[in-house]
Amino acid sequence: MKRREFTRTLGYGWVGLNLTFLVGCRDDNPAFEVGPGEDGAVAALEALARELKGIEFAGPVCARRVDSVDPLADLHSSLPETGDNLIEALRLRIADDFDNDRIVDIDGWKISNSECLLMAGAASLQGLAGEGELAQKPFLEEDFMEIELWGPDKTLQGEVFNPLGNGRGGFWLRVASPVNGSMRLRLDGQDLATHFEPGVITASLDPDFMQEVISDPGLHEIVLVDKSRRLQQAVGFLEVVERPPMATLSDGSESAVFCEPGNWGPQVAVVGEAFNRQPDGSAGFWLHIGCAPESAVMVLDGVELPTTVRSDMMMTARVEHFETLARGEYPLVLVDPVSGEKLPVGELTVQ
Amino acid sequence: MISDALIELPAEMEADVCICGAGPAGIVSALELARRGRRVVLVEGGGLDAPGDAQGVYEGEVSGRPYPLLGSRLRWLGGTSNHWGGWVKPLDDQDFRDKPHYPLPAWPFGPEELRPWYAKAARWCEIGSVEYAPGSLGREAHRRLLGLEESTGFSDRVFRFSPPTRFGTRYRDELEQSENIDCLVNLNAVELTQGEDRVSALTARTVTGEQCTIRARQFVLAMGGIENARFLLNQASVPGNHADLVGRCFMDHYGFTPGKMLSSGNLAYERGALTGQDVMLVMSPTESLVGEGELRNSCIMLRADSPDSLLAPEYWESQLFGGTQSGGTHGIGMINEPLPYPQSRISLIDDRDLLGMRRTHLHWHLPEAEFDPVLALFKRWTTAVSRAGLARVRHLKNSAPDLSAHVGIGYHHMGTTRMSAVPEYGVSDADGRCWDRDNLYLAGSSLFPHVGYSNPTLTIVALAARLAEHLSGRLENYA
Repeated sequence: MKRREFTRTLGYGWVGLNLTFLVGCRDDNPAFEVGPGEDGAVAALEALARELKGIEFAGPVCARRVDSVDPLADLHSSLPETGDNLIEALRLRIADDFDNDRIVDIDGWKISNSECLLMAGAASLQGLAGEGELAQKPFLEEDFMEIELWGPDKTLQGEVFNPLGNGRGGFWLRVASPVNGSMRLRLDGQDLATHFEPGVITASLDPDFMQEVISDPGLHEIVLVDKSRRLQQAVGFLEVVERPPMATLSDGSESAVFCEPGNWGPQVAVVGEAFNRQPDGSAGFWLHIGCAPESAVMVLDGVELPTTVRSDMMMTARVEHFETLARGEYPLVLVDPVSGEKLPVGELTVQ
Repeated sequence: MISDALIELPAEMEADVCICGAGPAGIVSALELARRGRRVVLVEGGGLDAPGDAQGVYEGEVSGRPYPLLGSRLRWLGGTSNHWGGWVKPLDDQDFRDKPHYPLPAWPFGPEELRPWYAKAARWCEIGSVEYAPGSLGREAHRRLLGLEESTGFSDRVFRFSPPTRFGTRYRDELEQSENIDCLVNLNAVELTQGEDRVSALTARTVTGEQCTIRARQFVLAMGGIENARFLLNQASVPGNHADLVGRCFMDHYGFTPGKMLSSGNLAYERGALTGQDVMLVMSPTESLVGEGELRNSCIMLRADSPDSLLAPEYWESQLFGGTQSGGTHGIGMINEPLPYPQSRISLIDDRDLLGMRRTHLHWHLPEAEFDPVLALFKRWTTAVSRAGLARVRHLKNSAPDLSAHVGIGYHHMGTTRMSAVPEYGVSDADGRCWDRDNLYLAGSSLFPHVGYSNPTLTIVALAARLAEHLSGRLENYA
């Protein structure tokens, strides 16, 4: 849109612009005391673009998004003629962008179109490499990131791992090195939506890709890449384990929620002693089971135990009342309060 | 005096006023009445410092969205103030007024009615100031807030903080020493003896089966937003249920953390950021914006967050934003106003507790659609601060949590015996009196018809102090 058209479009809408915004103009740099229509305006825009900081990620993204050969020229032509201050004109233009939903979304950041043009120009002037230029360069293998912990490394066939809702799920990495915005986690060679917090990287799979991965038993390679430095580092593998058969309930029917239970223990305890002693002093059970709902609990002789259903096909439960267990046999049962299913596991013998 | 019903319990007692529940509402109304010379029996189901054996009466069933029915309540002297965080703020003026897009009417009186009682409540809650206007915070605040004009649809609001007052501990000595109060702990209200429009006695019971009949001229239920409704519903003839609203309209404030923001690094919204002032600033929508957009009166909180490498804080140093400020990244949280939906309700199940009372079923109606106005409000706020050049905002959540997901809540149980201007829309009148009982009153947040985003304790205490004056006046008239 040309400048005069833009001015007409704005009309009286400008009157309503936030006073704080106008009063808040504190630019006293003489380089910007030039009206958008005056000579030197483009040079002033370039000066503004050169001094932009903190856009190492957003700048190149804007360069790709705005699809402009000369973003600063395009920005200049869109500025309103009113005012004799370039910064003020730019602010008015940006405010109008927000009012009219001319927004660029950079991984959730809401930036005005005009601002993105400025960033794109800045990326070019400052030599910030966009992915387009880098895309042809190969990735070099290098351990550029100190990864302390990561997960999950295992899931059951058909089971969304580390679920985030809406069919999405993902990985987390605890790291001890600085992260930058150009890092991405890749699964089977596909970039994941990657987010950064101090010490933590998280990456999520969209629902379609998640379904593709979890329906394919076997190992899936996970790699961390730095797309600006063209580095890649192996992280590990996600194992999609073939789903074991469903358990058979006491009445002979097939369970809808529990897989066939595997080993469990301890199966023998001594009166008054905390078997498989836990950090809090209580006793504890462990149980290998291929699948169980998060709502599942272990019940020992009618007493519901504080239970954890882990993502690694294990269930654990604390037995806080172990001291009250007299000599005898105590049935251990898995219960899912949501479906109402009960699955006998075995009997604890207290000697 | 305070006595333990498990140790000694008379078969009968008499008082001017019998109050059930010794949380903030019960304690304040009891002490206010006692200071006016009225004889009070104050009945608390839990113990002095611990729930005793009766905490299990809070167990029940939940449907709808998950809710911690047991863990969100405390049952001993001081009630739920024993885990209160101390956040304090009066309701906004708009919270008192009807909104056409809300399912039921608002308060039966305007904000001016509660103003003097808020001042009194501030003393009970040990808050140094009763001033909640951001303009009163001085120049530093003016410099260090975003400064959104009302015309943007948003304005700054102030929270203050109680120490927090643990009512059972802080006022225990006065309860102990007052000659006008008989406070019995480990004693549970179980049954009202009712005539056609009056209550003549309350039967209260210990977990060991000992029983006491309390006769009084006025009765007050101050057992909390869930128990008030459960107790009424457990009566053979349910007081206040002429409009089938006892137990309905259950509400709790729910949280949402939609994103983060880049702005000046010198903002002072967080608690402790303003020198010498124990306040926290939030931003909330104006009444006209809530009405026009069919939104909720939620609030937006800011807290310092780690830098975001996608748009680094240095970006804020540009001339575009004044060129003089260092940038800072802020996490954004929202406290959201729930609406009084009748299907969000307390009802009873057949299972009974150890006192013989039917247990609670809570259906918490907070469907995913209730997050639409929350997301819409966040979008409006994003536009407001972005167009004004005050911030850039990152949206990290664009959809509601699944219905099965736990959401952050305030442990504020509200709305189940709502006040109303006419009987058709409530359980109690503007004084908190059951519409169909002459001498049965309700106290606490179960009375709240609309709730905004403000924490309820200050309003609970203000209403309790107001109730005490009303009851004392009625007793005077009897005399």
